[in-house]
Amino acid sequence: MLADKLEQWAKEYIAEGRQEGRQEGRQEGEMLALQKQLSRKFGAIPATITEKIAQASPEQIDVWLDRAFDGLSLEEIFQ
Amino acid sequence: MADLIPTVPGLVRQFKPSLNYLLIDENRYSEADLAPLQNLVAAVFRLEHPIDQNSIKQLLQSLSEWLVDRPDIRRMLAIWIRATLMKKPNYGILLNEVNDLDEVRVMLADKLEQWAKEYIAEGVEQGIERGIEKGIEKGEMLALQKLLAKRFGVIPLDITAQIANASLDQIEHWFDQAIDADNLSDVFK
Repeated sequence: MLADKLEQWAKEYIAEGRQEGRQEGRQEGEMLALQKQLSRKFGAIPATITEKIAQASPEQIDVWLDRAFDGLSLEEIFQ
Repeated sequence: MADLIPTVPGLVRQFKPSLNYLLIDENRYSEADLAPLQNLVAAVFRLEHPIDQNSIKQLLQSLSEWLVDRPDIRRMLAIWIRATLMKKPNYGILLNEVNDLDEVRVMLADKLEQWAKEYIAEGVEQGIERGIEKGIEKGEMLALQKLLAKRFGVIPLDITAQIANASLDQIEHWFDQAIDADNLSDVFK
């Protein structure tokens, strides 16, 4: 039935959106975690670095998070 | 039909219905069977089992061409299609009242895409919150592992497993502990 088909499609769209949202959210979450670690260590973070973080890939964020514990300065982490 | 009804005694026997019927199972017709037929019943079957949203649009286009001089059927089909599209309150496509097939066709061309986008947006909204939680969890977990390794050297596997299964609150608590603790077991006690 057409009505059932619409329901099926709608549910597929919701699932598709949910996956998209989860990915988007995950990236944002990792970003927040990195910012939190940085501000814990260095206090206020300059806007240039916040911007850099906002545009980074999840892999890049992992790398920075890793470096945040290497006793480097803020500039060195983001070199 | 008569075989389906139990035998009845006496006088009533004469009223037992005896009918012939023809069962048409629309699910057994494939798109390939139906598509070449310029036949209204076939078109209704196809409309009930569309392959994708585009096939609905194409079918409405074909119907409109076939029925160019049948305003009565055009109107009937339009009303039926609109009702079918709106049937499920949560998943239906809302259309204004229609009097002709072309009105459905034109409205649907606009609405289908918007309809899909609304559901995707609904999904994104549901997903994003959960994703942020997961992302923070992953980031905090990495941070905790890193801090533990820095302070206490290699972390035993059972601790790594414990961290991997922990909640965000628990991870944050361990992190705070790890900053001041003298040894690893103090963090996880």
